[in-house]
Amino acid sequence: MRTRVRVLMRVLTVALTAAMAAPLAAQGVDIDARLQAVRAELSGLTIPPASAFASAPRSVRAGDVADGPIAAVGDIRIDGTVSGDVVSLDGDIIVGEGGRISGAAIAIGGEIRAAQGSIAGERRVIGGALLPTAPPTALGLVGERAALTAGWSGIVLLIGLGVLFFGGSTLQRIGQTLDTQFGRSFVVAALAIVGAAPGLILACIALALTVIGILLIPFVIVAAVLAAAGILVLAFLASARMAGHAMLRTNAAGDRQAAVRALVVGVLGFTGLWLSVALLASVPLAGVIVRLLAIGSTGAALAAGVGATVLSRGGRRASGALGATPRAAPATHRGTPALGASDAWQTPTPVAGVAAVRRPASTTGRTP
Amino acid sequence: MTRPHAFLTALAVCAALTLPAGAQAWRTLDISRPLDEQGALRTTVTFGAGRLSLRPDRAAHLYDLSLRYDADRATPIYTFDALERSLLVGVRYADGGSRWRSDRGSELRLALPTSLDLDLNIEAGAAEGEIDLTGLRVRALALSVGAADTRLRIDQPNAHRIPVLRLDAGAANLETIHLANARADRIVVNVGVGRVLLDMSGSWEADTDIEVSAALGKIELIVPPAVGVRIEMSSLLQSVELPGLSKVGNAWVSADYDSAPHKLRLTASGALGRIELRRSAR
Repeated sequence: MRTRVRVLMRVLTVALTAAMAAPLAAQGVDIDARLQAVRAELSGLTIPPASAFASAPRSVRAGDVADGPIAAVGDIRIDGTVSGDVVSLDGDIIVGEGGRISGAAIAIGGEIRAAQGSIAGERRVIGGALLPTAPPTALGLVGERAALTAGWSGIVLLIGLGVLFFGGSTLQRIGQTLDTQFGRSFVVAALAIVGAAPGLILACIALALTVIGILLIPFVIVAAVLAAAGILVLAFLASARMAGHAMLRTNAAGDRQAAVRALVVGVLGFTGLWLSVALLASVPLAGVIVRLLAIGSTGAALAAGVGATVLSRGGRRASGALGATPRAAPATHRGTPALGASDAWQTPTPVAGVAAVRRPASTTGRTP
Repeated sequence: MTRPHAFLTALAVCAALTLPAGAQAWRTLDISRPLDEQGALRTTVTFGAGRLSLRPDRAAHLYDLSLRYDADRATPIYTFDALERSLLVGVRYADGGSRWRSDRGSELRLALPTSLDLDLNIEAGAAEGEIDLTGLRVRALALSVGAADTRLRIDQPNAHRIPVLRLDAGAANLETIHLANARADRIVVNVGVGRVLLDMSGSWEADTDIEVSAALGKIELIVPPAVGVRIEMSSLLQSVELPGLSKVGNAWVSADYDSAPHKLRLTASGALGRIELRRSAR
């Protein structure tokens, strides 16, 4: 019984000591961290180490001479003479009548009041939110990146839905071009990317040569930037939609509901990829691999999309009009080739008693 | 929750996540140093966006600086080299340049002594500036403004003659008040698409040459009636409004130019720009 009481008392003593020491240790860490933050932010500032800071207000009485630096958490009152600097944290530096500081006076989170005394060196008052930003935890970083990814996905989805509802046929034509001329889209994208900047420069030079055209140069630059942004958005949306169709195994020439579903699934697919990057960012090898994978796939989707957008003249022209031979349409989930995108219209052959199927003029730009 | 509702909710959450946090860590830094009489002070101010104020200091300070900045995005610039007698103050942004996006909370206030000779170099990005050099002993002055309203005023004659005074206004609205008090021999003005007002009223002791280079900008010139004006333009595409001036050769000249006690010669070059002249009351 007595042993148990002894053990209990020891445990309580240790707990009490730890509880009392914790705030002091926390304060020490806090002061050090804050001083480090100030040192990092204000280069060239000479601030003594945290251990030099007295934990209570300090004063130098009239007639006394003290060697600096004098540092304290709280107010510092100088009525005598200090040879060196005076640094206060969360307190004021008050130089009374006859008080003298031969060095600098630095008040961090306080003020300097020296109407009656003198300060030979520099006066610095550092105020504001001086608590250093806590270093982000791994979980916090993941959360931040995940939120950023989700946010971007949300924006892309909103834009995509807008484009789909107000210009669905445009997106469909780009998607169709992407589907039928995938390789060519890459080549065109490469040419477009390489030629965009020189083309813009040439256009500006040509305008400058006409002298009066100089006025148009700013508009041309703004228009070019807007066009590039539009092409990139359309390119990504078309690629995401195609990826969504591929994931859902549905036909690209489906109805609007299917298109919305494909777009959402496609964007979420890319989101998942980038969320993986966010989650694995701190993992050395896997993080790099997933990041490369995400950059590669997104870049490829963008490049192919840009090419398809350019090839389809921004979705105003169907791939069939470009003279390319369309590939056989992917099978729908029922195993039936899509009408209009393949040679399905050729059957059945009109024979006696069987009505021939009308050949569709063009399915692009229309929903069947 | 039905499917469309769930979908819309998800979209709303995504959109909410994209909203900027808006967290800013405003920091203030006040630095001053007692005045000494050890020689001229070279001062460079570089400030991106916010409010910029430079004024004469009536107290006994070598300099008195007050900075307010967002510590999350910017770090203060402050260097004083006692040997070189040079002071560099300003704000540096994390991306290395001066951010032109809205940074309205930022502020730089600098007071300089009236008893020391000063060389001033001020670079302001998108900062709204109020620069009062009245009473300062300015030996050299260069002022560059990016894209904001800035006013430079000198209400008393400068103690020194300034050999070359440089003013750059990219897309800014730069107004100079009583610029003749700067006592500049030559004023070089570069304007991009902004507006520069050169109020040449003040104390005239000698002739002044102004060189203007304007791409699409506008120069407004206010000159006292007793000063003879001659304006020469190298570009035909510049438009002018020069009342009281008549064309003589390839220049516009005021009627009293030859007999005027002081003369202002302005040469303008550039692609497209506009020059307007007005006469001040005195």
